[in-house]
Amino acid sequence: MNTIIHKLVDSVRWVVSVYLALLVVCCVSCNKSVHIPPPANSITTSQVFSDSSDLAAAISGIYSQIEYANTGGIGFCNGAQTIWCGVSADELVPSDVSADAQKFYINELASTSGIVLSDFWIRPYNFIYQANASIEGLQASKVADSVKNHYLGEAKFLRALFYFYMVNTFGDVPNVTSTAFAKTSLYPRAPKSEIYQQILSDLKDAQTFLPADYSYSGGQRTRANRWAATALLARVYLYTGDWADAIAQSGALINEPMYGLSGDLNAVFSPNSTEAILQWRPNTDYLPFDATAEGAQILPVQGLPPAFYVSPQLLSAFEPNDQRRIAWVDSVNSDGVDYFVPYKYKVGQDQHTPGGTPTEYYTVLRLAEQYLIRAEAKAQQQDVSGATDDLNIIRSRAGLPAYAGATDQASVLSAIMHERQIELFAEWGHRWYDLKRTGEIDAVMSVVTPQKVGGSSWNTNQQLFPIPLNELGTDPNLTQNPGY
Amino acid sequence: MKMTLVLLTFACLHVYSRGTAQSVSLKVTNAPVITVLEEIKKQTGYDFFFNVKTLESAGNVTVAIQNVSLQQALDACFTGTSLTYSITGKVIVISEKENATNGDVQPQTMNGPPGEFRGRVTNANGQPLSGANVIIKRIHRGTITNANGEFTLRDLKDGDILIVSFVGYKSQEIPVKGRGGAEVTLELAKNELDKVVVQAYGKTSQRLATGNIATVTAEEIEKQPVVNPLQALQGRVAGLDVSQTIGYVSAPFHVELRGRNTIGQFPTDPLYIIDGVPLTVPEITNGSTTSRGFVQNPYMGGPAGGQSPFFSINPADIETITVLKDADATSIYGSRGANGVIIITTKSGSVGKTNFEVHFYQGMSAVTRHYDLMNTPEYLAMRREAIHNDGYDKYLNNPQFKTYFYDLVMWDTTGYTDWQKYLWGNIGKTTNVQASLSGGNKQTSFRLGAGYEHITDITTFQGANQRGSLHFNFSHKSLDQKLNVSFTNLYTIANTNMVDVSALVLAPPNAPPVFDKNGNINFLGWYPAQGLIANFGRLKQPYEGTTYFINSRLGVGYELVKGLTASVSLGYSNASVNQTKQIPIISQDPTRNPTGSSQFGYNTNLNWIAEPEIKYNTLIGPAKLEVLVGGSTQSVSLNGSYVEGNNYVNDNLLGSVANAPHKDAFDYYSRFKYAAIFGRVNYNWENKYIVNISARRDGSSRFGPGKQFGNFGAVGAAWIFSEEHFFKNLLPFVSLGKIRGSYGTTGNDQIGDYQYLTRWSGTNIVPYEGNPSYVPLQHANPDYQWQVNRKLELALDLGFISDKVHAVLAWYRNRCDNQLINYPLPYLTGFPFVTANWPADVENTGIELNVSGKIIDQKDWSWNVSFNLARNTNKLIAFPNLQQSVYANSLFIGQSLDLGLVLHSLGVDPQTGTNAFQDKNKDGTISTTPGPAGDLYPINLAPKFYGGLGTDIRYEGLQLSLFFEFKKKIGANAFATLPTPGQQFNQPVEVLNRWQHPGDKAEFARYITNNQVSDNYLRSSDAAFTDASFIRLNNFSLSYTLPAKLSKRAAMTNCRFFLQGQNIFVITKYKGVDPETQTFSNMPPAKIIAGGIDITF
Repeated sequence: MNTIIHKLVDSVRWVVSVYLALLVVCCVSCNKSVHIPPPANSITTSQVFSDSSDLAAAISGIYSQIEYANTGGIGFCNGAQTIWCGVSADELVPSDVSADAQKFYINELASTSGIVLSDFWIRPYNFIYQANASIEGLQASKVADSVKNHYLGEAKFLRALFYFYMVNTFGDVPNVTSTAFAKTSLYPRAPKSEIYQQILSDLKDAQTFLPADYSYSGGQRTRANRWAATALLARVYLYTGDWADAIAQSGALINEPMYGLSGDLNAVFSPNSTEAILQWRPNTDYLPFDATAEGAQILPVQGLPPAFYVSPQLLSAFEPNDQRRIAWVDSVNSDGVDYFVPYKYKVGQDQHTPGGTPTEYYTVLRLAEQYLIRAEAKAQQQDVSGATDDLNIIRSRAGLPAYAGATDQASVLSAIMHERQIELFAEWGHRWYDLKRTGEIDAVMSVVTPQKVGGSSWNTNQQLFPIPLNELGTDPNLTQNPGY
Repeated sequence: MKMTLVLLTFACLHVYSRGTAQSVSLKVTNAPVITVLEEIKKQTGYDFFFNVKTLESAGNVTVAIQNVSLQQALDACFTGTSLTYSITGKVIVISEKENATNGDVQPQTMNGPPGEFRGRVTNANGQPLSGANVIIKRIHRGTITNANGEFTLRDLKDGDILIVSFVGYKSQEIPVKGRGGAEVTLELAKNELDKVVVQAYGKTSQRLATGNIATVTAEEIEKQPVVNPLQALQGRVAGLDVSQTIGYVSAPFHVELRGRNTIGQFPTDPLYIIDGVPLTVPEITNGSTTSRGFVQNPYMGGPAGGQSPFFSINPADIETITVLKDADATSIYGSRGANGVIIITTKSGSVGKTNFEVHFYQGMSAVTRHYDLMNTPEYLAMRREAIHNDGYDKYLNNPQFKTYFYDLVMWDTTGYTDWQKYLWGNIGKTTNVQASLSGGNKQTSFRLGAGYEHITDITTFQGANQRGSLHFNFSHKSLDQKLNVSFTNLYTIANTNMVDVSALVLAPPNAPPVFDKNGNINFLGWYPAQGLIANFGRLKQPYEGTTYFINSRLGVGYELVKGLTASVSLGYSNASVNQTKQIPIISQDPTRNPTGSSQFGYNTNLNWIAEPEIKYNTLIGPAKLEVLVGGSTQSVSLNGSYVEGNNYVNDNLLGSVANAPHKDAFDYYSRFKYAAIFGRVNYNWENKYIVNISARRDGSSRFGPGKQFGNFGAVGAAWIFSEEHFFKNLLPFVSLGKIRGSYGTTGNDQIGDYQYLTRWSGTNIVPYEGNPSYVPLQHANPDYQWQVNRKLELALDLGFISDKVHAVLAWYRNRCDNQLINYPLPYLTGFPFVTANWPADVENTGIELNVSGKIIDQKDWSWNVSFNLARNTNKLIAFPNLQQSVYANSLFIGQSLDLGLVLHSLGVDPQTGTNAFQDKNKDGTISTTPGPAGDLYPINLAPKFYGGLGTDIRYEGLQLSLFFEFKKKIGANAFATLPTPGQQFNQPVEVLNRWQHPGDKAEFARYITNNQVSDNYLRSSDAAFTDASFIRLNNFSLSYTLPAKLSKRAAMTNCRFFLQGQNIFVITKYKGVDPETQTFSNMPPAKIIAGGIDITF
């Protein structure tokens, strides 16, 4: 009897133990045991694009990135082109003694350049990723077309803008239009023509999707509209030699009553100036506060030499009595030496203040360039008088007499180039890109480079920046530009 | 899971009540006790265990009871007698009430019913040993003891001998010789091989282990005046590479066991388990900024780049640090065992007199080596020569270009500052006070420890670290020994205060003073070297971090039936960190119209774990079988926030974020959960043949849906051939000969959270025009899954001359396939990384040797030596489609992962004075383009071998210990990390040996201000690497213990004076401050010398 009870108790204990063991097994093997809630501080792509206010934030994020993704104050599409291309060309001289700045100046960039990597490669491709992700998200989104289409237009415009500067900085670049990293990580460089096709297609879509006014940015000219797409389209046609289309697009803009050249040169870069087609608005809560990135970087502080000043070549290119020499160039004397600085933006680092309303916006596209685009395209089509008419509109605004030089095509084209050099100096690297697209770069730089402090000689390979070495290591199909 | 615990507890109680709720009815008058007991046995089925003489001496009793419980019946029965009882399982032990001791059962001789032999196994403190083996030598059969240490054997013959053994104790042979029972007291093992070592979910000894387990004991840790316990491991464990990343004491350590397993950049840290609670610290990264350890706010890593979690653990509270290396030892940790496991066990109280111990030391620290840099005339001459070489003489005196030559034209050319001394010239001070109270009796023991440390840095600016800690350990066993409860708690407050002094020592020696007359940073004086002086601005930007860390564990176990124990372990840890960093206006360039800003970081890392376990052990014939089945569920959550106040116009308000004109807030968030079941079967055939099988099924929330679970397992086996008779006869001086091997799988979970999700957030972005703005955070990959590491190990363990010399030679081969890595992508994809599996197969093979010996072991004096050496070879053995991957040009089949791709330097060209390199592909140009278009070739940067050598000499009370660490490796040449000589940075005096004229044969190229390509190439050539091998006297400890007579006179149990040192000197050919940190500019690890006293009352 006792042994039976013993055995019974024993077996009860065993059953309990096995039961416990099973319980443990059941408890941990179900999926619920490792279920976690989604992160509280982020949302997924499908969530972003299923709601009109979230998808608006995705597009707004691209503008934010442009304005605040930077090193040392300037970044891609926010001053980097102006400064680094200006220094590379014959526009600006750095008094900044850092080796990085010097390498741009003397045209001896290395493929390890940190600035090229971060400001001309990492950031643009990061912005492009966001544009691609937004385009993919918007296309898949069930939100009504009427709500989402103008965001699609903005994303496409911005992607085109980024690629325009990429292709003109590096030549052939990978044409990444998708977020599928498994595929894109092995992309080779696409020919320039393919990139331009992509840009054109994006800009045409943008023209379709975007409204012709600034209603959705509250009247501020701070977000891309149909005219911004048109302005960039005119420039792209000019760069690709499609003169007729360049004339058509720039003409449309010039005829648009919303835009007109500013009578006051000091007001060209003011917020929502009549000349402005697209501007970035500074956020006055953050450095450099109400100063634009460029103003903060270039304008001198407290009698010290400016970090970047106007080159002797540019200074001597101004014609006498050019009002732009007065309104857009300032000087500072330091230890008996006069330094001349670009003064298109007036608020510098030592004048900026937190809060308040900015007195200037960072101007991306403006009407004056459209006149010069049309002038050049007309000259290319042998319409010399049409060309000089447009040219003279710009000259007259600068207080200069009408063009009185030779009227052969070459002379007129040369006059337009000169006008571009002056009108668009220290703006978005226009000079550097103009020299490259017209093929004048070797003639100009082979004279200028040896004149630079520390500069030795110009090599035509130097017109393309090097593909960052780092990137060559991670994409086996990427090739380097010659000479690096 | 909570439900399981409740059920478990309930079930335990239930079993307990069933076992004792028997009803008894009795009516006897003046009957002998033995008669009454027989009646109770009949009614309840309980057996009695007694000494016949004891019962006889108790006389007769009278009892009248009806339907009462067993206890009531026994109480009634024994009232008024000299007897007492205890119930253990189904056995009731009767003994005499003892007046002298604490009333525990302690029969001197025991006799069971005829034909039975009963006994009890205890340790020297009288505590029963549960689960001890009792084997009848004749027939190789036996039994194990129950919770109370008791056993019963039948059918013994008179000449039989019992072998009683228990892990950690010396075995005993007990002759039966006509006795009916025996009380066996086992002595603790004195030799290293039989001492208890901690293993995964249990204990074993070096002799019986089938896996590779290494232990560092409190004795070794106490000799080292270190703040971080990881530092105490440096060089002590074969195959474990521990190095300090930077000189700040709170800084994270780099810990790597047996080489690099993956091609990716994820951390290589082993799994750390502190008192049974896995230390699970999420790694949060923010693009390029990473802060490691407890300080997870990526914006606020502080100058040390994070904070080691072990900065919050007081080495004085640690009993042992156990390193588990092979599959057999680590597989039971499944998904987290791939990089090895380090188990930290804190101290506990022991039976006996209550001890009060005070430990105090005061120490000093200083930089180990300075480097000879140029003085001002040498520096200025270098600059002028460089300017001349560049052909810039014409610009030198042109005021327009003064900013290019500020050190020569604008600064005082007669000034001189030794920046190394200026920055690191301080003698740091360390104060360490420890006190502990410990004690216990057979049932309960405790330890209460408290510690405080204060350490100042070697920087001449502010910087101090403080740590206060409390440790509490309590354990209790019920009277019947079946229930045991233990509780351990660590609580630490650690405070660090630092300024960043990096990148400053190479400032020109004639640079102006750092502070002007008013004590402000001399920004204008340093113009235009804005970058350099901005670094000095950081001296006025203090960083402070305070960490609160709790680590608790509650363990409850109950023996259900003999050999079967159910237990549950509940663990909890919480690390919270408060950080502040201020950037006052006075620390910034006043010409830039600066405003102040302040950063506040808070994060809380909360971690709980519950692990129910069932253990069963029994004897099957002569073999002992141990089975363990358990479950584990763990949850970790991290909440972090970072608030930045900007645009302050007054530095006095920087401490208040509410007063900031503009504020930004960021947050960090992470959750993860683990769940697992695991099991282990250990089969031990007479300590001769041992097989150990373990398995685990693991689930982790770090993987996407459908990829969360994985299975891991291992088999280990050992043959202790020295137990074979033929061997014993042949080589009697070999006390242990063991061959063991193991094979198994482990996983690695050290990847980021939520990597399978697309994530958009407005956290890191400034709204555009006030509109909400999101940015994507990462590439999402829903498809990655477990990585499996396969580990194979073979080892030979030998003990000689009664285990006085012990040697272990281990060979291992670890392979890691389908690697889970942070796969680098080209930036053109949008982000530089994605978490993915990659079919690369990496192999680490190596040999480890450990030898330790007691050369002299006498009462008066002793001399011990220990030595370890490890050599690891790391190799990529397969990589499908390597040529089409991002690693096409950086990894090579058959070669190490730690490769540097370099040009071959041909030295300085005597004609041009520039650095010359080999044109490997003979295309006429030197190119660093990866692949065949360039001239790079791979060199192996992995350490060749490393290890440690310790020696310990004692003469009476005087003891001297020395510990050397050594490493053979190639490291970055300090010269190659310097800017090109000729620029506005100071240089070591060696650089004076430069090329000047055609025909010069010089070590260094001509001075130049403007790097040319060949100067840049120097950094990517083999000239940038050099022998960084070293031998370091890592530790010395000299102590004197007062003779017992003297200390007793002062009412002390023990009194010891000591002088200790850490990182005393380095023997190395390496030119630079430290062969391990390998740079000129970061604060190097300091040497520490401390003296103190240790008293026990």
